[in-house]
Amino acid sequence: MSTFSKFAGAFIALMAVAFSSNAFAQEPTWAMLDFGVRNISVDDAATFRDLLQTEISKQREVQFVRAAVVCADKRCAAEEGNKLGAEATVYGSIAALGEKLIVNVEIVDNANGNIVRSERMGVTKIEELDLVAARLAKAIATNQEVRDTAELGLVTTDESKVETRRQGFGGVALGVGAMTPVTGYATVPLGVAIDVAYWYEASKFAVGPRVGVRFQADPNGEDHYIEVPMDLGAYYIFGLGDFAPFVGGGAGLRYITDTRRSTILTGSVIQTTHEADLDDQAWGLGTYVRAGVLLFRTYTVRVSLTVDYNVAWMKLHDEFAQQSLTMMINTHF
Amino acid sequence: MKRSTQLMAIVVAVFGGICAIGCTIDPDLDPFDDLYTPDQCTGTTPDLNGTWEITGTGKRSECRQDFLNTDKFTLSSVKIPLVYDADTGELSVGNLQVNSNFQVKSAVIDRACVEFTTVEGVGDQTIEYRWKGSAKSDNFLEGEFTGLGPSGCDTVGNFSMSR
Repeated sequence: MSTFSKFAGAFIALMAVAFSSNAFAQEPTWAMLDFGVRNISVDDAATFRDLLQTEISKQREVQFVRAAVVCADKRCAAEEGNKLGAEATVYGSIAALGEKLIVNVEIVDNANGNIVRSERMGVTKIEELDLVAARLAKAIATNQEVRDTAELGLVTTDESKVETRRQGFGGVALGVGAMTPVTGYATVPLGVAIDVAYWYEASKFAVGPRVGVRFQADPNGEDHYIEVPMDLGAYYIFGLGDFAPFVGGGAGLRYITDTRRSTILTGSVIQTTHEADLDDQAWGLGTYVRAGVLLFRTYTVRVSLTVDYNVAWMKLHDEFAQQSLTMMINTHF
Repeated sequence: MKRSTQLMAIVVAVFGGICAIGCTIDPDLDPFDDLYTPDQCTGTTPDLNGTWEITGTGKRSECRQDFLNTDKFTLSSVKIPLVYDADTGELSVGNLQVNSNFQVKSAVIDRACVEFTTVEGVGDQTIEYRWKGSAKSDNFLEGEFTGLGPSGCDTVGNFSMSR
């Protein structure tokens, strides 16, 4: 035998030993127990168990030993696993609950008896148990939550359903009332306020946009203004009865045009004097806080009484921040 | 028609048009021209030396700032000390009670008729008035005025001046 042949033979033997020992080292032994069943057939459960074993084997390097034993807790599972010389034991149950099939899978560390993974998944079609097996195996292999393992081809019918949501009640609201300028407006004692809003009402809150107009009540007044608020508001409602107070607020855009009768002077040595309307107008941010009471809440048509304190963050006639108080009665359809 | 002749025709037409427009716009440049008649100037020349006050009414138009336009304003003045040099015919302002950039630019006196221009600086603008009146007594004049400014306003009105 040549030196080369001896060397090659020794190399091949060494590699064979290395591969075989490496393979044993990277493939821990897990035990797969039978799944407990409730209201489904044992055969279906066995099929699921086989699918799960196959999928786990595809996802990670592990070899399985089987035991025809059903365990309902981790102590039982660990004992059975230890009997089989396995490092971990996979066990669980499949139960039918109405039209739903609920799959529970747990993996227990046989050395200390601790649960290392516990996953649950539900489907409405037994044909989707293969998807469940694939998803659970992926979750176990990648240490992810089952819900995070969804991908095309593995989404169950249940997961594709639209989530059931609580329903609110929405409709148009019309309001009319009075506005009292506090500061920053033309000197007008009282104004008219009109709102059109969309009011979406849930049991404890309401939200909605509104657009309105405010103007001075006296058409013959020398000073006058027109304000257009466009806001989005949100309110917390206290109570479910026919007398329900609420508080909240909102923000949006404001447009105000403001005209004031003023004395105009020119010159100082020779001075002219006349009366003129000084116009100013601006767009700006508007905010408001609201307190109110919702009446007849148990009816589809409701009424609310509200008081708003409004601030329009703009400069008109060199005055910043127009503030006003609005009192309104609103009908919600 | 030759090209040069066509060009000449266009030039003549353009200048003719400009002239026509100018002739329709220009004639009111001096609204006092119609007021000043020799008959109004009969009487004795007033002694302008002394402290005068001006009052009146007027209207203002063509202002860039709309709130300055008005069909009626009232006019008043602080006490204005006038100094008149009969030899040179120069009219000037003495010490005013108020701190102001105010001056009399020019003055013409013809028997009872008095015409002068005042200019006041207000901020970065000026208000110029041209007063033209006749003396009704040694202490009282009345007439009409025009003005320019502030904000490009054109002003006309009536005034009286007394001391």
